Amino acid sequence: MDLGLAGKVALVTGASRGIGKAIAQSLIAEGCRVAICARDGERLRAAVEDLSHGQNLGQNLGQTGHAIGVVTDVTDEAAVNNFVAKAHAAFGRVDILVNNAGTHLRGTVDSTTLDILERQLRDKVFGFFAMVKAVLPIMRAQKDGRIVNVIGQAARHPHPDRFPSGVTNAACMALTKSVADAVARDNIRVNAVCPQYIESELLASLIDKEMRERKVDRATAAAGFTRSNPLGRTGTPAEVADLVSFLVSDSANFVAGTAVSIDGGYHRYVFG
Amino acid sequence: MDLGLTDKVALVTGGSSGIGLAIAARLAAEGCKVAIAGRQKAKLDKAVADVPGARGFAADVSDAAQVARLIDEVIAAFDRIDIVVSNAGTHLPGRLEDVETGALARHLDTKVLGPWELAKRVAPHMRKQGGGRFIVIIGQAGKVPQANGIASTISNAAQHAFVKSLSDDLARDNILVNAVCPSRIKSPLTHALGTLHNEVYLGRSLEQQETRWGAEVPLGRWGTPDDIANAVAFLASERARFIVGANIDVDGGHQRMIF
Repeated sequence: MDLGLAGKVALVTGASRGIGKAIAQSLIAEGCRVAICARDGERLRAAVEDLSHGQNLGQNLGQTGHAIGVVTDVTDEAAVNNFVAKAHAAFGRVDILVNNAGTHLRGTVDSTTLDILERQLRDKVFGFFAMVKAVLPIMRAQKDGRIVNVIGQAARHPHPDRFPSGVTNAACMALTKSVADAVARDNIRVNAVCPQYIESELLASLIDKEMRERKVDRATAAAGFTRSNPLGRTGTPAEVADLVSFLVSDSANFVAGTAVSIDGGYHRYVFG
Repeated sequence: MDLGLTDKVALVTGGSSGIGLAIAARLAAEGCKVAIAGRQKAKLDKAVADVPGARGFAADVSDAAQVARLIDEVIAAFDRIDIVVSNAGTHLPGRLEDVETGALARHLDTKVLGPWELAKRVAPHMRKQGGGRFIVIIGQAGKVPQANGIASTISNAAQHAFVKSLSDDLARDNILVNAVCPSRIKSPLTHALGTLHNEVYLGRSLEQQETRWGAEVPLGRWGTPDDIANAVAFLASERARFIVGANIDVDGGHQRMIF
């Protein structure tokens, strides 16, 4: 299927590793030029190197995969504006924004302080919104734009020690729908993907934590996560990336204001 | 994007016109061997002529015996079924006083018992094959209530419950069950219905209703059957192996729920 993404310019936040990097790789394989950002300069440099050397030869063989990186903390509005400006200057347009940046601050209701909750909200909700605000003028002038917010399923289902994520993710779901409504007439399609239990450094560190706290081996610690969905396995960053690539493509031209779950069946909602 | 659909065998019910035909055509274009099921032979013959390599099978999915025969015939013709797209069924408009109870019952036979029987018949084959895809096209009446389409809201909500529970049941066999939810798609069905009544959503301000913001699609236009077909092709593909028990709304932003 020709996704019609050749030549399009995509910004992906939090893309030096994991899901964000896989999304950048997938878009490059589809012919996009990509600007990525992250907070750690070394990791970002390594990721740009990786992405630029055609690690993922896609359908556009002969394309070396054009990627740039800008060190950015998305909680810093000036830094956000700088990232977008640099990408726009380098590539001349901004067609796609994938909001993926944001840490996951663990915490129960009892252990979460106002400070922790504020930091989590600033990271994801404020960070997503700042990036949206920064790209909107460009997308409106182009009369074309595609935005995907990556939002974990803590939005839908509470978990004892994911209180900050749950609150933040639910806010990001509302942000997605409201922004989608506001910009649809400008031919800007805004959607979300909701992954859960994707193999990643984050998940690996959670498994490490299980091993330490429960004093069990890796297989036993991991089993809790693999049994958490009907499919019986964790997902891969590449699988999330494929869904994102579909949603930002011309093949999804009538998909707007929706959230698509990619979670091996984890979530329990009947209607969504 | 390589969808990995080459030589997969796909059955599309209600596949001889509108959204179903577009799905059949898209899957065929992606390399599938397509079986089109429909009730009227003349429409089926025309559809098969329009979709390269497709074969037609006459069947009314509201009849369990016909569903059993349909699956047997498709297996006999193709040796396997990898993908089932359950699309058969129409919209039954009307307020409570307009719809005969018998009409509702027949509607449920097609929209609910049809996919139920299809799944029952095809699951053993897919299990033996090591997996498959079962995609239900669920009109948005299933999650968007409407006073003048109550029968459809009932049948379609049941389809949602079916998809989610069936996906739990069959995931262990690597049979992935999902849905695509169309709304505001220009098709022979919506054309036959005439002007859809504007749903009145609770919570819309008077200003919104007066400016018709609420009545129109956020994207400012209706969609096409191809928009649905593309989402189905993606869900049926090797690229969607971790998507289970989910649905993709293809509606230009129409439905109002955040979650």
